[in-house]
Amino acid sequence: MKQLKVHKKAIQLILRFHHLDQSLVPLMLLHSLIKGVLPLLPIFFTGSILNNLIGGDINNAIISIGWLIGLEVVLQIGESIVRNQFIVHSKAVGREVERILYTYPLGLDYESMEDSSVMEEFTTALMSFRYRSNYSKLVQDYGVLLSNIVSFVILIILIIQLCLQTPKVSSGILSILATPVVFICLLLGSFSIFLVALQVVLSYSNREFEKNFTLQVESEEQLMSCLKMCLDNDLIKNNHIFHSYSIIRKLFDHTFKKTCANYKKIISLEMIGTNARELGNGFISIVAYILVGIKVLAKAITVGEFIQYIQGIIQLNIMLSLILSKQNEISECVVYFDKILNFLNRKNKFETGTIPIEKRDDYKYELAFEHVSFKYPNSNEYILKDVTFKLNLHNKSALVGANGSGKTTLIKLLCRLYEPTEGVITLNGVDIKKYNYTEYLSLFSVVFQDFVMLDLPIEENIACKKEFDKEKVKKCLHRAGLSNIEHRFDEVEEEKEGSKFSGGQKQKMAIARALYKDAPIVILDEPTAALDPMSEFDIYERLNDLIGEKTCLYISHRMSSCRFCDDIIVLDKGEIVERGNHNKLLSNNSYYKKMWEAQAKYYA
Amino acid sequence: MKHSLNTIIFVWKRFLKVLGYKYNVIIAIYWIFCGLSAYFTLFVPSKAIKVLQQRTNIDNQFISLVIWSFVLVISVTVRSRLYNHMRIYTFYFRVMEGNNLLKKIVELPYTYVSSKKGKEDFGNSRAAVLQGNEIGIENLILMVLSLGENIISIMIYSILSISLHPAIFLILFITNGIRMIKDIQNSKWQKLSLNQLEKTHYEVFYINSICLDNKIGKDGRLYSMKDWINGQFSFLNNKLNSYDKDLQKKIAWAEYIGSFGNLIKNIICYGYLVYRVSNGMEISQFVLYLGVINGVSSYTQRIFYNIQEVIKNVPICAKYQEYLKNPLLVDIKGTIEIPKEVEYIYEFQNVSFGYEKEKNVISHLNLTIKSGEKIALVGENGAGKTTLVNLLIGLIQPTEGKILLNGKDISKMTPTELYKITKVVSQGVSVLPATIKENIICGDEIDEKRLHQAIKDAGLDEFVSNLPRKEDTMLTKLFDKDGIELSGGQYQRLMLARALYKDANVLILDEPTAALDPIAEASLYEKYNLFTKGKTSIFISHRLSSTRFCDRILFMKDGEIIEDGNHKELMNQGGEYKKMFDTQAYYYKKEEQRA
Repeated sequence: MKQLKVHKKAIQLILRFHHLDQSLVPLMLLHSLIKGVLPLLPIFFTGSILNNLIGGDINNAIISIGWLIGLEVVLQIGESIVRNQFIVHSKAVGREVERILYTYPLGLDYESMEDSSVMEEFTTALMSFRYRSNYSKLVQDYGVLLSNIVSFVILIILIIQLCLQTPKVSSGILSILATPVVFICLLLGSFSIFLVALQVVLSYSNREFEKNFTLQVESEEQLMSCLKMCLDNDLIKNNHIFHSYSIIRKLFDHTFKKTCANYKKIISLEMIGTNARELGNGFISIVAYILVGIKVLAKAITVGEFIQYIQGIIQLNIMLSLILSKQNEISECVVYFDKILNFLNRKNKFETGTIPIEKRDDYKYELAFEHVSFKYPNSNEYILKDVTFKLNLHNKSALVGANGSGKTTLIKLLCRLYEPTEGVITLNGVDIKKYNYTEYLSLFSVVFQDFVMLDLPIEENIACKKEFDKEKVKKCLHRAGLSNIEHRFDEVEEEKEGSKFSGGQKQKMAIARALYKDAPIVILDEPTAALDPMSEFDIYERLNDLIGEKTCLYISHRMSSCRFCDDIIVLDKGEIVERGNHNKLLSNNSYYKKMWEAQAKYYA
Repeated sequence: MKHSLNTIIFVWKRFLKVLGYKYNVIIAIYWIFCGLSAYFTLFVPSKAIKVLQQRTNIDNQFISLVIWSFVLVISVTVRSRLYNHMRIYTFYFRVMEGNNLLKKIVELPYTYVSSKKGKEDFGNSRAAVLQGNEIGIENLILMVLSLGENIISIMIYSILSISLHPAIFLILFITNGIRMIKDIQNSKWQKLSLNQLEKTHYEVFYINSICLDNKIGKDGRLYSMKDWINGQFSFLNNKLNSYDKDLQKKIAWAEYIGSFGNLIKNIICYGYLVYRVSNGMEISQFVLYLGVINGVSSYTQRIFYNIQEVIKNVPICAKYQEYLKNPLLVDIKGTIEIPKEVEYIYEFQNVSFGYEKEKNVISHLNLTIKSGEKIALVGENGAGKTTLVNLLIGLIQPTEGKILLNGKDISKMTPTELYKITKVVSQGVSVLPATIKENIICGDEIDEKRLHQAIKDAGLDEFVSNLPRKEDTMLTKLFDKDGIELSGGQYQRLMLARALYKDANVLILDEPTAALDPIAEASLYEKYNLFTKGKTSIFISHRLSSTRFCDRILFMKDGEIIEDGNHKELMNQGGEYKKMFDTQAYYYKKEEQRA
């Protein structure tokens, strides 16, 4: 049965993360047991209490009351203790699971991460998981489901007891209706009508809900984008200056209109479900009064037991509804959970290669491109065409060219963020794909043009770790020209990065980060773009010290930086067109010369 | 208290405005049915027992039973139905209000919006409308509704318990009250921890969004940031876990006290009821009063919860209320007219400005800019160049001194009119999720010829004419799957086209060539004279090469203009400008030329 499948799946998922905290499942089971029994106590005792009172047997009534009150307080306190522990543990495990899921993209290969469809799919799946199911909710919900099942089973026993009471009146319709057989038929019949009707309504609304779901996620994303726009100061500034209010108003109105229309649809579907349930509950309550009343009037049960059985039937109905709806919720939960877990099974495409990188102190890591051509996965245009070159060891090499000539792509290939479409990149003669991926990456200290600093303490940003060598971080900051920030560490704890720092200061932090990693090959992509002339010159001067004996590849639009590079590689439309040092390239009428003069003429 | 009431009424009034005045009636009916349902839930079982104990016609008994069960079910069902309806439509209301808030913020004055207070105020208002069902205007309305329901119900219960015996009422009151004391203590503790908790939640939200943002892709792998980020997660999770532990412990104690109070209540009340029955009270009455004493505690708890939530939500909604009162930029009217002359002369008189108190970014600045001057504004990072320009545009006001335009104080002019005279190409890219055409024309009038000229001058004509939908192509994939993304350099050209399109006399360029390669950069410089013909222009740049085609150079340091002249004059002066120029030119000069 489909319902059983849901249980199996839910249990599988709960147990999958069981190793994170062994006490969670036992707590859940214990809690479900107690929670299942607790609310039923009054139902069990009311009958005997009332009977005794009606019969004038005060003493026995008091004994029954004593048991009721006593058991209640014991179970209440027990439930409270277990539940509180359970909540703490389930939330903690839930957070661990989220950590595992959220950090998944970080281990993914770069190509997949850049692929917007992959990331979109992942983000959608993750968001749905987080808001609609998540692990702690699954465990808690399943616990509730179990407790409802416990209650349900106990109540069934009670109701069977009710059904089996035979009437003590000899004739009349009532005595027939009150016989066990007829009574059971009536009871089952009412419940069946109720359940079938409810199921029909719910499956209809669920189906419609599914249809609208992707629309809803999309509109929620767009809402978030609108919100992001409002937080962008530059956008607001431009808005004032260029008076683009009407465009933005139109955009927002359109987005909200769409979103609200969608919500309205979803809302009305929800309403159908809830209303159907309420009506159904009402129906069952009336049935309860009628049927139990028949039993009393037929003298099958006493007046004292009337309340008990009414509450029993009504509770049974409530439990049934809860079980069905929880099962529904959990099956939805399971679907989202499954979707996101599928991603975890994916492997990093580039984690091929097993050869370790040998540690060398002489920095002899020679990189070479052999007839490398490359086009991005979803494009037909070749960004690099038959590129062949060797990166000279221990040299500073400059990589220059117009926008779109392929410089950054070349770097990405070198760093194994992408793989060549044709050709081979080698390290000391061996195809880089054969090397262990993580070890290969450890060879490079890179400052990308669009480097990222996180809103966390500066020291952590430099070391890229939570635990780091304080002295080393200080030294690296100093070498990058940020010694005045050091004082901030000592004076103020936890000075966070954030937007308090100027572009130039952030750039120096990125350089400090590259220094901290201290890798044998240094790649710098426009490292002085955001720096003022003094700082730029400062960095140029320090470069020798920063790089030392290491191999360095330097991309820049600032042709001046070519002066201190030993070797200049000129790229144009994906091909290497010129190569040599500054003086050699200037002597012919080269493309390089053209670019050089374009900038230098202002400084003559 | 008065303010709280004011806020609640404000929210309710907006609700009625959005969804209709009929809701006043719906709520009244809801509360009436709350009362009915509370009463009948107690009364009907009791009445049923009475009916069953009668020794009359069985048929009559049966019919009576059926009627009363219908009465109970109808009152409960109508009440639930109305509550569900409200729950759903308050959600809808909240989302609609979100739109109002967003539309508002983009039209508020820049000074306010970019200030610390402005950001905080927005954060709070946002919580009121865009942060889910648990907080803000939606929750406020629902809590007030529930509060009404629970107060009415408890009044009925109280009246019934008093009719049993006034002392019983007191016992119920006291035993339920004991728990409330602990609950109040707990909520105070929660309030104190709230700040820290919110901060941690924000940090979690931040690190979550970092993981999903592909901007971290390259650095993330090259610096194996996965470990770092995992470390941060663990750090934050530990904080949240220990908060949970503390919270649950406190909740647990409140529950123990509650159970204990319950025990006392049960002993006394059950005891009294048994005594009354043994003295002749009917069983049906016993059942009624049993319902009363068992039901009170859940209502008192619910009332406590409602009040807590209302207290939590009112300040946030009040902030939202305040925020809506801020005047829109377009509504701010000045007292002085924009000068009608074609030639503009700007004068800065002893102007100072700081984003925070006692930290001036610009100090006592004096400057006159004549019409048609081509000015280069240079200096180190943080010298105040962008701030100076923002003051000139009128986006921010000086904290000291004044800025005059043709002799008139610009802070007294209508802002929207003032902004019409300047146009800016900034360093950052602000592309709107709209067509290329809309991105260039923005709020201006549409002039096809001017549009095509702007596209051409910015160097985008080849690109645009190759697009299937040309300038009607949607930019960014944000709101249209078929939208396109441009490269960094192309976006910068787009910003240039936008500025070129606008017909304004003052052109400001703030590092517009940062992403352009040397050839493209040179081409921009060459066209510069063309762009700035007849206009006053200010060119901010690090790259001192730009100063060669400007008439006048202003060198800023620490918020002051320390050198002012043309390139030759400043080089002869031998000051900061010369030092900076020589530094940059160093590598461009031939070996022999280097000093």
